[in-house]
Amino acid sequence: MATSRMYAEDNFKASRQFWHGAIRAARPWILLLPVLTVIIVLFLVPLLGILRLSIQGEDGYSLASYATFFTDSFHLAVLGRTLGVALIVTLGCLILGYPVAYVAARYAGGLGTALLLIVTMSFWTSFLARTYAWMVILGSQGLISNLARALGFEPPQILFTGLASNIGMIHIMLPFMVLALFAVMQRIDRTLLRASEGLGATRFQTFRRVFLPLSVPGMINGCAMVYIVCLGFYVTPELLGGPRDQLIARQIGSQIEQLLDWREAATMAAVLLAVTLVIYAVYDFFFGLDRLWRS
Amino acid sequence: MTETDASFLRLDAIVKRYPGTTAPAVDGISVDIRRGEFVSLLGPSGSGKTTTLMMIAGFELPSEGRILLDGRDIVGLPPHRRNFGMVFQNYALFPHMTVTQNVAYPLELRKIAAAEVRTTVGRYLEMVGLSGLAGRRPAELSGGQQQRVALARALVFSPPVVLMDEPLGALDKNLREQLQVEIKELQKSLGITLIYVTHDQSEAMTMSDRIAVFNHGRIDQIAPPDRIYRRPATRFVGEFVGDSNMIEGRAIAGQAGLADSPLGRITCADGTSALASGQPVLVMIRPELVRLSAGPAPQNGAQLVVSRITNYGDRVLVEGIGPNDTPLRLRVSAREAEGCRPGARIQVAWDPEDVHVLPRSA
Amino acid sequence: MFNGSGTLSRSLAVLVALFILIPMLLVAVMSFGQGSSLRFPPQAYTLESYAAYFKSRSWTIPTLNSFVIGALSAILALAVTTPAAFAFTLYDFRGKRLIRLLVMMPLMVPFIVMALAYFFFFGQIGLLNTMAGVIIAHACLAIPIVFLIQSASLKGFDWTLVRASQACGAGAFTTFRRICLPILRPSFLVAGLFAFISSFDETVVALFISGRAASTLPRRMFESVRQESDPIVAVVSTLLFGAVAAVALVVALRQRRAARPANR
Repeated sequence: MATSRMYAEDNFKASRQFWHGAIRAARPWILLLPVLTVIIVLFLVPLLGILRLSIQGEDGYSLASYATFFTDSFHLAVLGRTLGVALIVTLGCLILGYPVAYVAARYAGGLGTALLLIVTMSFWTSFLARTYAWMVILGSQGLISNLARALGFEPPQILFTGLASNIGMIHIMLPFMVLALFAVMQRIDRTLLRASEGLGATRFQTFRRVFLPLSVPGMINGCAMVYIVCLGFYVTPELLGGPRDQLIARQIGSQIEQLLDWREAATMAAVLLAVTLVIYAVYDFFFGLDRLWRS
Repeated sequence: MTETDASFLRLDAIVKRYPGTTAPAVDGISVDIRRGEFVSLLGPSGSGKTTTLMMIAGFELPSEGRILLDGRDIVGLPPHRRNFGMVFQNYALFPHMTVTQNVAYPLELRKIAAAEVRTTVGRYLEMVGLSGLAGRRPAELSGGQQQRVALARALVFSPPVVLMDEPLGALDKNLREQLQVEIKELQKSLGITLIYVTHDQSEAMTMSDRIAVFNHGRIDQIAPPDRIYRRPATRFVGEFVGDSNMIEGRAIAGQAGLADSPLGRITCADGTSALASGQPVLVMIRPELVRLSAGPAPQNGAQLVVSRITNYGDRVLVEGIGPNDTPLRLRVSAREAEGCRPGARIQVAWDPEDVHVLPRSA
Repeated sequence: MFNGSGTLSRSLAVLVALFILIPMLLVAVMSFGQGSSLRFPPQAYTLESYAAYFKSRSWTIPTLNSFVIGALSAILALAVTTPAAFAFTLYDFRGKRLIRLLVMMPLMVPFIVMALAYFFFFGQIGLLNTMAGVIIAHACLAIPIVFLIQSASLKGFDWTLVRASQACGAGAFTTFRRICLPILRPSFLVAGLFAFISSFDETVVALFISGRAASTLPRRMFESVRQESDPIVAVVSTLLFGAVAAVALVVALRQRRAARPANR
């Protein structure tokens, strides 16, 4: 009697432990189910849809559209220009953003806080509003043109040129860069700077030999982020740029608007996606994507 | 003492294996804890003491074995139905509640009337000396105050067993000693059965009725503090608790209480009759029980050449080399150590009562 | 205290800050102007454009749409992402890295690519130019943002509190309701707010898939600056900037107030 009860108890315990284990193993998947469903059905399927579209020929699948893309000098020029413009904007943001982040990190309180506040507000302000602002500044009836006229000479055309587009993109991406730089600079240990000065380095030497190297991760993060966003930038170049210097995102956009050629649009989108993912992969290989997303 | 009291809380051959590890974290431990007893689980980190506590609390499921409370197996009971009070190392106070709300929480969960909750919480806050801070949030309290709140929260519902996981580990030395006394007094006056995890041997020594010394998932010895200190069951216990000289030797057959060692024959008042002749043994002598003596002692003493002297303020540690290059340490008062200089020859002696012999395999 | 290089860096920083700030202030001036939206300085100053904005259905409806789409997509994103964030903090499971990458994908794919993808996809299933389509798209795009914020806050959450609550006698549900939820709520609200803002500000995808029927505010602004020259766009921009400034002010004040009791 006692043995059978003990056996039943053991059996019960074993089954309980089994279920305990089973539920434990299943629980993460139950929790992941909603997000996986949504991402796969409502994100991945549409995305793969255009990839399929890009390789769909009249008779079966083919890579013909890619062959066309990469032999067409116009498309290659657009791709090259996109990569180049993204580089210019990224460097512009770095050059302009570095002093702001540096001052914000080193002079916390007062000026530093004010700078940070301005940058954060710009970050959160609709980028359409900011793009519109540059139309007002650069337009033929705008601030700069009227200023030039007041000074007595006829202003050149700025709005609807690559220059206007680049200025607008720099203005819009600048907060990203500053915040990425600041996130890293803020964590630089002040005592290191004091130690360097204590060892006889001038302020400039301390900056160049200690602060600058330690801020490199922020520069890498900021540049990666800005460069990637710039590759797919549509709105600002569309509104500020001219018709002659097309970027790949605008090409895709105009294909959608004018319903010209689905396959061509899908191919361009696939190329843009591939370039973007390659940059992510390179970043991941060297630094790990987690670092990029932490900021 | 009644039969049930003898084993109020019993751990019966508990084993805990984690998947993907070879050695079990807890490897078959059995302990009987009496009602109202203060038992410390002492050991280095990774020795299985915290895992054991977590199994008692119900946060970990044992792979094998039973946990009996008053004769009833509680392994299947989820933590919130075990009715054990618990204090954590990092206090684990609810940051969004005031001191009062934290302490009232277990009572509210037990559906106790608001008026009674108020008076009970008040009484326990007074007990831990925090009546004035009832409205504060945990973030506005010092570490010591936070741990007092945690203490009140663990005691307020009069649990039969209270578990503490290194509760004083994050506090500085003075506060720690003060709280040790307070916890011990609360435990005694409330008659709580308390299981206390620590890696601090002096904490375990001062507070416990019994100490269980953990080593690699097993209990090497469970005994009252003075026994742990004076008669450790294994080399590990002897070395983990307090400072010790361990001298390798052999038991001498037929002559009770004698061991042969590089320092000569050593008499042991406890006797060595349980040991076979020639069996390898360890002779343990605590450094503070070795004294400087005027002349040579035939059996329980040695001549040393002093190699190093370290002054700790209250005591001086003298390290020396005895016959056959055997190192020996002794702790003496600063005044006694006045004549000692590195290189000097000194005579030391000890009492047979202070010698402990244990098998070398252990 | 400051030698040459300190002054230099600070002057540069101030200049760049002006470069950032002035365009936004300029728009505010424009919003009170009369006439073309692209002429600066305006010929005269009135509040006419503000009145026009609130009276014009072609502006108020997209504004309302944006609020609805932002709120619903934020709720949707929170609802599907919250369990996943818990799963990632609480468990180790196979394919964790891959699933994490999948969840983060919407942040990695350029919006113009997704605009094309959704344009095509929603066209096939009949959700093009509908609110539902925009809500779904925006919810997907907000998932990584919500996931990152929630993961960070869950990582910071002290899980011994859960054990402490259980030791006090609370079951899983009570513990979640009385301990986890109150502590995590602020950061979850922040995650929702970020999701809302990302939807409210999102232009590219909305531009192509919202159509006239579900037009969002950014889409309306885009059309306005591209085709018309009516100054309402300045009003909207100013209102958006004003909202951000107001929030920044409140946050700054609260931080200052929060800093005070810590000195005690």
